[in-house]
Amino acid sequence: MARCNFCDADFEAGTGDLLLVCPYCGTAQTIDGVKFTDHYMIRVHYDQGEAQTTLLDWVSKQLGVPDDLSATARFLKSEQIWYPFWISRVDADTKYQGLGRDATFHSEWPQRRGAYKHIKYFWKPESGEFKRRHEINIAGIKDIDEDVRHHPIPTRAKEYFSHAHAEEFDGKVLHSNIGEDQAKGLAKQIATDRQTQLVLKEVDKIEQRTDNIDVGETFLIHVPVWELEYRYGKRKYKASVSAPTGYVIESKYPRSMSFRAGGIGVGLIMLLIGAGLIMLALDVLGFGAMLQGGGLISGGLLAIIGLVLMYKGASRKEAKENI
Amino acid sequence: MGSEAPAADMFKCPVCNGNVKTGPDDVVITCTYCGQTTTIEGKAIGDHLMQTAVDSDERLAGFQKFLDKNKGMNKSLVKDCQVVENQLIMVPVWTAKVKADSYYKGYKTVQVPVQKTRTVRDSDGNTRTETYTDYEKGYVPIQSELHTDTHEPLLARKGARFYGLEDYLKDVKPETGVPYDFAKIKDLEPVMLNAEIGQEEFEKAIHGRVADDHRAQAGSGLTELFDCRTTTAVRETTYMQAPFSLIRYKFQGDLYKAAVDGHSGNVVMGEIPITRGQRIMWTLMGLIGIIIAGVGGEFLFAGINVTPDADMTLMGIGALAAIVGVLMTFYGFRVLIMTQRTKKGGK
Repeated sequence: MARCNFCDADFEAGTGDLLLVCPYCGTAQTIDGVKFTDHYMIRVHYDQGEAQTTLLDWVSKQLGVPDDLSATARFLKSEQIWYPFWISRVDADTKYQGLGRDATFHSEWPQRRGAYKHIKYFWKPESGEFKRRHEINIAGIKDIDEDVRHHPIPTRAKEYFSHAHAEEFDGKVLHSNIGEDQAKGLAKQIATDRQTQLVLKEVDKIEQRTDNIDVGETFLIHVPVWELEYRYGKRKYKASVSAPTGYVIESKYPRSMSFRAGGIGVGLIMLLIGAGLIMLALDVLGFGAMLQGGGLISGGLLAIIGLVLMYKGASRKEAKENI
Repeated sequence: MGSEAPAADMFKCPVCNGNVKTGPDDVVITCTYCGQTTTIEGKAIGDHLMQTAVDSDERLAGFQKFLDKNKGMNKSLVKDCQVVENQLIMVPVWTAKVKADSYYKGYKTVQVPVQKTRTVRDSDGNTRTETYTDYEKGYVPIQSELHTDTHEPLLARKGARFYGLEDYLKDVKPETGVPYDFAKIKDLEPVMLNAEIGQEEFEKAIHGRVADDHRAQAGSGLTELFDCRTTTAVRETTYMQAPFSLIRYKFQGDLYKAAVDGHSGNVVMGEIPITRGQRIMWTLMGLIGIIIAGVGGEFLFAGINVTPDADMTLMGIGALAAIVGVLMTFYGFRVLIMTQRTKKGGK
């Protein structure tokens, strides 16, 4: 339990939560009750019904999805979760000295001018500087789905966080497990790693480096995602839909029995015919070799396609919308 | 309810004193009343352009043209598709000409043909020497330069991207722009997005992007790239607001999308449904492909086994048929298991 330093209300907070959002007054605050002002959000543009319709219409085009999915799927859960992300701007300036690989070439091939028989590597001292501005995006909670984590921040205007807006949709605003200082520390670390990658493209061994890493403006942004669960037949399927843009971040989906049976059945028949043709061509069965050229090619093709169809028929699926 | 966080910021336009609603991270603001575009400190920004936009009907017409071109045998596509979203967005874009010069050094390996002799024993037990060609490794040092002068656009929003972005930005060039005039697009009710990336940040970012491109290009033909130094000169930096629209449409109950250039009304990139009939046709083609490949294989095999010398004509026909058959099979069955097609729009 935590107590809001601004409206005195008690609210739920986990032990790992460091930056809290009061569910009553919406004030973002540290666990010591200091107000955090750089707190933004992206507005919801797809309400619950629109998100559900978009999801089903999108999913129904996937391979093997039953035709009656849109009509018979029942939503069991529709929760709007506001995920916290820390965004930092980091100015990095790295001066480096190190050794880069270079080579000398010996004994030219008389048959091909410009090409040499031997190469001898040597290390050459190199120095330089990389100045880059990095934008670092850190998820505010640890156990976040990878696809939600890597979904781009939508191209919609950022606004100051409004708790009333989240409340309109019964949104659940997640506290951040990461405080501002820790976010800045992580951003610095990530920026330093990226600089190292840049330097390592120039030199193979870094002998000396001076980094000037300046973590600038850092803010917290809450992005709303519809976490949906629907039932079709006996199974339940989970999906995440971006509330600002309606993109399907990821969704599990059902495949109809007829698709599965067809895929596995047809695949198996093709595999068997293919295998049969190959066996005939290689004379495995001892009837004497038949269709030696055509059997191998057609048999091989049939077997490969048979395997692909069987896999498609048997696999469980998850789909993501390409952006 | 307790105290509410402040609503979106208000920015006072230095020219007309209008109150403009802005996002917290916006650094370049366009006044929605007079069109004056300034930095958040109120400093005027030079050469601010926009692309004019076409209305929703014209975008729809461009979209239908795209569908018509890519409908294949699905004759009812244009008639039966139902557009559910066609909102115009004015996207902030920084563009510049970037002249980049790289010097690079590395090496590649080649196969050098070398004539060699060897001693062989023939069937009668006599030995003789014969010459043959062997291939040995050769190292070719490369020192070269790359010079480019390119148009480099960048979406001026942080961490954001949308469907068709890269292809869309290619056509956002200052030559196609006109001085910003909000009145020209006001009636189209566009969503306006301000820039979150300022000029200085853009120029830094674009230097990094071009340098990385050069490095990739220099390294592509080499076994190892030892060194690559790039200098860039950015000029004619221009801020532009460019119209974009994402069309979402339904066909036979399924949802698809297309990215539309709001300036020309043409589709940049879009998804095309595959109907049951089309899947059947392609599968049939795949099956025919298997047969053709098989027949080709037979010819090929027969050609090889003609004595005393292989029949080149028979082999040629066989190999050709086998390749055509394999390709037909591959493309045919690929359509069977595809969700949809992605097509780029032409001019």
